[in-house]
Amino acid sequence: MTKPYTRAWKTYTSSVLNETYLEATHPSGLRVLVCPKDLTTAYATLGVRYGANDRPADGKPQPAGIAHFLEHKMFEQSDGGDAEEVFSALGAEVNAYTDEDRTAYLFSCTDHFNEALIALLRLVRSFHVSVTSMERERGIIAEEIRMNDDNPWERCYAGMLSCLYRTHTVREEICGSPQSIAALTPSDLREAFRQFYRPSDMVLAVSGRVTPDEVMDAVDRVFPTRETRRAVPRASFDEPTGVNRPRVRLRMQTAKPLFCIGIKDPDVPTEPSVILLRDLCMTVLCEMLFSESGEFCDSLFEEGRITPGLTYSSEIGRGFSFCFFAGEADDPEAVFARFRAYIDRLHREGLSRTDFDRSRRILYADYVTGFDSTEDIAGNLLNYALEGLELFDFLPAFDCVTFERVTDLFCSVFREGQFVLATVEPMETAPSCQEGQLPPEPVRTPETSGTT
Amino acid sequence: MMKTPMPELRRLSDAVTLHAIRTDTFKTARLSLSFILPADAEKSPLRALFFRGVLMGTAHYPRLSLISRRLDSLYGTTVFTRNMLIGDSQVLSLHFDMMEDAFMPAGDTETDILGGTLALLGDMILHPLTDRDGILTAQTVERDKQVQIDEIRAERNDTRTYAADRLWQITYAGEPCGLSLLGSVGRIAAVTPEEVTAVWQEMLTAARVEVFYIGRADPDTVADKWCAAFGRWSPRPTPLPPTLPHIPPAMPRRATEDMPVSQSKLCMSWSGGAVTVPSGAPEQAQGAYVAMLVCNELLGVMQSSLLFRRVREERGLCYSCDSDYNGEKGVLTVSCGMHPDNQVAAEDSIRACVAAVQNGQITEDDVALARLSLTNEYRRIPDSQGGMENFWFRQSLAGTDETPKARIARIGAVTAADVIAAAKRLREDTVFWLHAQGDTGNDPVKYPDKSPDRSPDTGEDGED
Repeated sequence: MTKPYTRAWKTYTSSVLNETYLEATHPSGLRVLVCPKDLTTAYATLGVRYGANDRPADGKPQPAGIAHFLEHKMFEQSDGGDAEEVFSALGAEVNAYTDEDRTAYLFSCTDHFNEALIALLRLVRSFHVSVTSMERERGIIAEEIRMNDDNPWERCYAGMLSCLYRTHTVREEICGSPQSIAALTPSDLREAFRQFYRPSDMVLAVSGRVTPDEVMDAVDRVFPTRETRRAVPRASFDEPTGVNRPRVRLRMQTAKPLFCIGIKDPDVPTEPSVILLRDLCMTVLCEMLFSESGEFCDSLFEEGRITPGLTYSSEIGRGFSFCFFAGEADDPEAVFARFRAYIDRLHREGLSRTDFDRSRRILYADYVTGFDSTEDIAGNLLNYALEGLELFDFLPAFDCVTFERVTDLFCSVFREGQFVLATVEPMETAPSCQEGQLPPEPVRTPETSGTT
Repeated sequence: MMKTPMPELRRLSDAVTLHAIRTDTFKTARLSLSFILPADAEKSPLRALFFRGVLMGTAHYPRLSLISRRLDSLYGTTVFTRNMLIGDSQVLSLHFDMMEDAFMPAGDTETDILGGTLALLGDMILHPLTDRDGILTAQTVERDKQVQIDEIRAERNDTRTYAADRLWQITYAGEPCGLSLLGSVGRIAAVTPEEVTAVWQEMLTAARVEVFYIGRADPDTVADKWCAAFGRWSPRPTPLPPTLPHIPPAMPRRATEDMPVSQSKLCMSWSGGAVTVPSGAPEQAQGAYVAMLVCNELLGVMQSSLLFRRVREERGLCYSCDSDYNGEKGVLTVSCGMHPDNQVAAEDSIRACVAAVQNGQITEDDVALARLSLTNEYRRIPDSQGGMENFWFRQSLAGTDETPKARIARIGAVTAADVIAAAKRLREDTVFWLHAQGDTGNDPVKYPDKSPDRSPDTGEDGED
């Protein structure tokens, strides 16, 4: 069934990558992206621009964890059944996750794509909840929180965020806390759904053996073919540029001390293309400074001060930007001191061009290999679209990642006063907390944000 | 359905065969080398120690940073290792993912990603850091020992994996596979460079070796580049002993450990299931094995599995509850995490799920969903390099040449009666509890009625 409007598909092609995708905006406001790919597995992901950090601008308080709780309850159907059973019957695997700035619903299948896509679209168009099912879900999410509570790496990462940020909601747990989810009511969820689940604040990204028109036909069947209201405005963040506190020390069941060193970016851009360029430059910079190829880790490892397998990354979102590196060390304080001395020396002597060339090459390869699966393609299409960008915007932005830009970024971000250290130390050996121990709040890492 | 490409075989030496799958589907190629040896409580941890060392330094790249820089120069080629037990064998493998040459930026005519990666692999395996006598250097062995000891001690950091490992070791106690792949702290602390050198030499001479390549290069080109990197290396593998049948206990075993965490973990095993069989085995044995796979899918793998529906969705006892099946030993395992106050309820609920399948409390529709879910797993195989590599490696190890298409046909023939018969073979084997002793102050989960009441709070808002 085709609706009486003209579908204006815009085609994006990269000759370098030999890839093409198409984009159109549905009359409801839903942005639709389709990348045909000759693979058996088709993959669709629908992102809602509403995540754990978002609060309405009206100032009405919302308990932490509401977006994640809503994500769980979106699977409940009007008859009390579970939408997962609809996908199972089609042989499709459905999942969902809540991030700092989005909630995404996704499925993959090898058959019955159209039916599964319609089920996915219906999932985000209506909301049903009962008191009983709300209570049951509270129990399930409480176990998810406990599971995270027992993970020392997640606790360490959360400790770092609490040091970096004073007021921004990025310091809160995506799943919320036992206390915050205990306060949630069905009315809270319904209100959040009404405020934020609007087609004009959603993006659908699809990849697989599908045509753009069959995707849009499915959208026509579920979404209104008229313009819809936008979601309510979000509260802005009034976050200081400096860190909240420089140090936190936690104790729990761990064999060896863990550390997470965070670096707060004081200048968070808002314009999408500027965000992309800053993100790419920060990625290159982290690779230069923290990878096992680099001088810093090489010396610490050869001296036996750290265990191989450091984790490092940069994160940028609405109102926040930071990078971190984490690992295991007998003496995290010594690693922190070495880090500061290393940064100080780089300010005096400059960054290495060889490290820059090496790191830039990796950035390029990582982007290219993101086209290997329909899951990666759809996921990347969604990521760029939710930021107001196109997937191939990477290529011109990559050309702008120069040594000079990366050096400028280093000079503006890697400064004393922007660094924090979070540690998790074994229970039996750690001294008493000097700087105040965090309450056992649930924690997260970017890799393991809340999922259904 | 996309046809799953079959590997082309090339003889690399008398006992080493290249399994090459030529495909231009991806922008990344996969190369791997696997050593397969009998599981051995003494030697297996030392083999792991050697493998750890090759990633941190070789004769040509004597520091971790130098290996890492070499990988970076090959457009961010990544390497990872696997150390696992399949049946009573230990499999140690190195896997490289590398960007295809076709996508190198214009102007780079120098870099040979595949050749460079193979050369590095050859260096890791044949030329680790040794002293003049060919013994692995004491300094690097000491460093690697410390890293392995740290990893052994850190096993308890991940309670879910730790509990699953403990269940494994108790279930298979006394069998070759019932070992710790990393060994004990005491044993590793006492290892000498000579001992590690001896296991390295045994790997080079007596291990079965499998090489896989999935990518755009012609198999003959891969073989040529292999020869340039590995020269005349030609192991004489000792035949692997067959995997021994699992020995079930006379009575189900129970074991408990306490840990200062907030969530308890429960892992349970059932033994007696049908085991994997090689090509040419009687049809009945092949059918029984596949029926057990469908049974496992129905019980705890597929999206709306019995465990997921009853333990999580209806009772709200946990966040995840799933099952796994060890086809080499015929052992089904279930794992779950819950508040300490819900331990008894969770254990009873899981046991009731297994009993429900055994007692025939399933429908043909349930089995159809499980067949569909499992079929999809096989249909997805050609969609990833890792999927193809893993499937054909397992087939090679099991001595079967069954294609995904043939396996799908076999799955399609499984009935509810077959699944019930498969489940009836299972006997409870072992229960392991990791008992949480931490107090987070969180209330335990109550058990709400599962009926969906439509209260005044029920709302629907789909209008704009």
